[in-house]
Amino acid sequence: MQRGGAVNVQVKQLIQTLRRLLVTSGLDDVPTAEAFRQAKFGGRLEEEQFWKLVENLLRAAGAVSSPVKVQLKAERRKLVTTGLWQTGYHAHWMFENEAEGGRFSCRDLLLALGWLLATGTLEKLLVHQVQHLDKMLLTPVFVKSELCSELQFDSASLRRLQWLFGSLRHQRRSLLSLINVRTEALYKVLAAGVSSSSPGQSCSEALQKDCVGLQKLCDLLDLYVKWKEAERVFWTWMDSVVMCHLRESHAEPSSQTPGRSVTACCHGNQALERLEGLLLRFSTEQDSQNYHVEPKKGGGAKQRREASSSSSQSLPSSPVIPAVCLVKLQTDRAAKQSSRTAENRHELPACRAAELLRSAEEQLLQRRHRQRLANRMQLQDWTGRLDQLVIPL
Amino acid sequence: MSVVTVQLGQCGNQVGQELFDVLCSDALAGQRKTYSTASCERFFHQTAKGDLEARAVLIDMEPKAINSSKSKALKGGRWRYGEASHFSQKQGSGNNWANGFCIHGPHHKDAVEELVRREVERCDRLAGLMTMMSVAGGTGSGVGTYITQCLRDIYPASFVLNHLTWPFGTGEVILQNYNSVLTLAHLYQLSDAIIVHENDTVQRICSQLLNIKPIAFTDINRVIAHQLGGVLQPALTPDSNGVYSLNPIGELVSALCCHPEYKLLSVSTIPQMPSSSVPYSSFSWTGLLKHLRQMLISNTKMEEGIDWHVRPPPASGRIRSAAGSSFNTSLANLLVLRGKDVYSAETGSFEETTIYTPWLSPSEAFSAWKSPIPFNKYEKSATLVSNSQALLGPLDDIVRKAWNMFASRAYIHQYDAFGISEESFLDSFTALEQVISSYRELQS
Repeated sequence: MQRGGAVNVQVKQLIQTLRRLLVTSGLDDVPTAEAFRQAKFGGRLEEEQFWKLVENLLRAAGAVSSPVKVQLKAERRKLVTTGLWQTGYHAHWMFENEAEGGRFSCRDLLLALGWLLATGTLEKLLVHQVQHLDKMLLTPVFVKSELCSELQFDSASLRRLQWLFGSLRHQRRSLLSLINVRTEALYKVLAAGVSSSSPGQSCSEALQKDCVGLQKLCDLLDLYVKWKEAERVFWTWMDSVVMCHLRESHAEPSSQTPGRSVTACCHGNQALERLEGLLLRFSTEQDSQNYHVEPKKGGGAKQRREASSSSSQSLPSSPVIPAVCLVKLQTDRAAKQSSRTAENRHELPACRAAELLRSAEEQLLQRRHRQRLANRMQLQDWTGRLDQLVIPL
Repeated sequence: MSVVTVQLGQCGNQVGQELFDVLCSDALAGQRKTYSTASCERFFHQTAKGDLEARAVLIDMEPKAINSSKSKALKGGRWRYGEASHFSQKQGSGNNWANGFCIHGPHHKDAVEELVRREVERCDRLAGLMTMMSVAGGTGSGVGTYITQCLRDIYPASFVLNHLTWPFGTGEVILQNYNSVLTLAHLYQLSDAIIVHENDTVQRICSQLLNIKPIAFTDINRVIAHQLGGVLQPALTPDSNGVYSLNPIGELVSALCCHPEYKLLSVSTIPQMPSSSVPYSSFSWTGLLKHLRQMLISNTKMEEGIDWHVRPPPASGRIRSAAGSSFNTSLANLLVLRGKDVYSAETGSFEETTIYTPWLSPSEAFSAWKSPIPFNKYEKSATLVSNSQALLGPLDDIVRKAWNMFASRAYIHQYDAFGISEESFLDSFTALEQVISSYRELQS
């Protein structure tokens, strides 16, 4: 218990550090440490601030760029949902209407916050703030070169690599030289400020302002260092938030898995149902298209028919994904046990599900490609027809 | 940021004096405060009395060329050399690279280093070091190479740019090819970039474009100074964030010489015409750049006699250059545009993939600097600094002639006497053969 208490204190301190870091980085209305704690258990304390925090982080990451400050709750929800989608984050509450309510709570926003922190948003925010505070910061000149993702061992690639290496070496020397210049300039400014007995009013005000800015910068960097040193604790705590979330989302009746310690996919079956529906819809549309080929001039119709028929002939059967399918992480022993019971015919091991999903994705992409081709040909056809159209005057 | 120039030998001191003349007169022409300040800061030190002193050190083993350069500068009245910024002796190097490199150089190293150090300390910020010398004689080539080595050791973080004047092919000095080979082989390891002017080419410019008769070395030096000035005067570069670049030598080197086997740079300028014709001529950027591009790909060093039949090879199926192929493949090019309406100049023709080696994209290989200030009385002027096969032929000639002499061991004993053995020659030949081979392979 004592150990648990010590951990709680540590987590609280860390969250306070994170909070101070976010505030120093220029964010307003960061939820309190207590709000973070309560969010873990699904409360809605300071929900508005969590929304604002996620929104501001998304803006810092460049995932959203609404020029107008969002006032309405619904608009904010939409903005945040869009921004999170852009960053690759998906959660069930993002597809629900607010009116549906459901199980949405601050914990969902806390999980989204964790995602954003994991994807480097905090660092982006930090860079912006540093650039704002440090007026003498040099903007790095990025080398606009592309390296082939696959290394090729021929003389041309080697020469290119040597060129790039030389370019970096020259840039390093240029940067060193500029840093020396900057250091000398700073020294002169400080020396002038110290040695002058009656500095001009504007000079001292400017120096004061610079000092304040530099102090803020130092504070910011200090906080970031503290955060990085203890960041591991935060992620351990976030793991516990995820566990809380998964436990609650599977607190629904689940007679299929009594007394087994499993973790289930928090997306449940909705995403898989949607995927299956998508696959069925594609195959239906493809079939119906085959009946809409009209005889046209020359090879146009023939090509379209060939494209359609080839696409329908090559249409493989979509993978069978049961309507109710829970992807579960199982221990080896549990997996062996589950394979013997009839109750588990609606369950798939994670690896198998991943395989099915991958092959489904491949097929969907192929179908999309064929569909696009067919659409393009159809469009060309129509354009051709329009060209020949004579409008009587 | 400032550039410190080290003028070495007769040629280096004479060309250097003409260069500072051009830079000063261009900087002080007209009401162009920012440009003038940037240029003066870069190349001159302003004394307490407001006089401009060149940021230069003059080195020669004979006093004659230094005295002449100093008095010419004083006579002009707009700038001068520092009173104590020179070092000379009574006896020359005898056109012997080994004498300059092994004897004079080490003997006078401390004095020269002290002069350079003093000049560097007078700069608020050092942008780089530029040496100017010829490769034919003994002092410029031998002492110049040794001093470059010293500068590289003392200022490892600074950029070192060498300007070399290559001798006439017909031969001013019997040992010029030996001196050239030894200089180039050593400088390749020490220098960041080597800008070359060939006397033959510049003489043709004087004769055919400028209609100068008879042609003196002063005329040749003025053309070289004009071309160099077009590169070195302040300009807006892609990395300078809207102000005149503070790092001209670093940016030049970064744009053109990132690969250790490719450091030879040639310079072409357009237009070049008699000064009496300048007020009556007008040019368009389109025309100037079209000519300059064709000069580049056909390896023509001036705008007269351009071979317009030379075309880039097709993008697919590049073939190795057969002997006699006249297309000049580039590794990298830097275009410096100065003058009126400079921002409307279209430089797209220099960004075609077909004119560059396949392993470098045009976006990496091509850079453009611009300045809205007309340079040296030309309303519009374009200077192209090119790292290409343009110098392959002349280099090959020098090496071939040197090798022919070396094969019979002619005059080798004169170098051996000062400590340069046959082995050093062989190493130098090997190094330059590698350079020649690298440039030959540019199009594959």
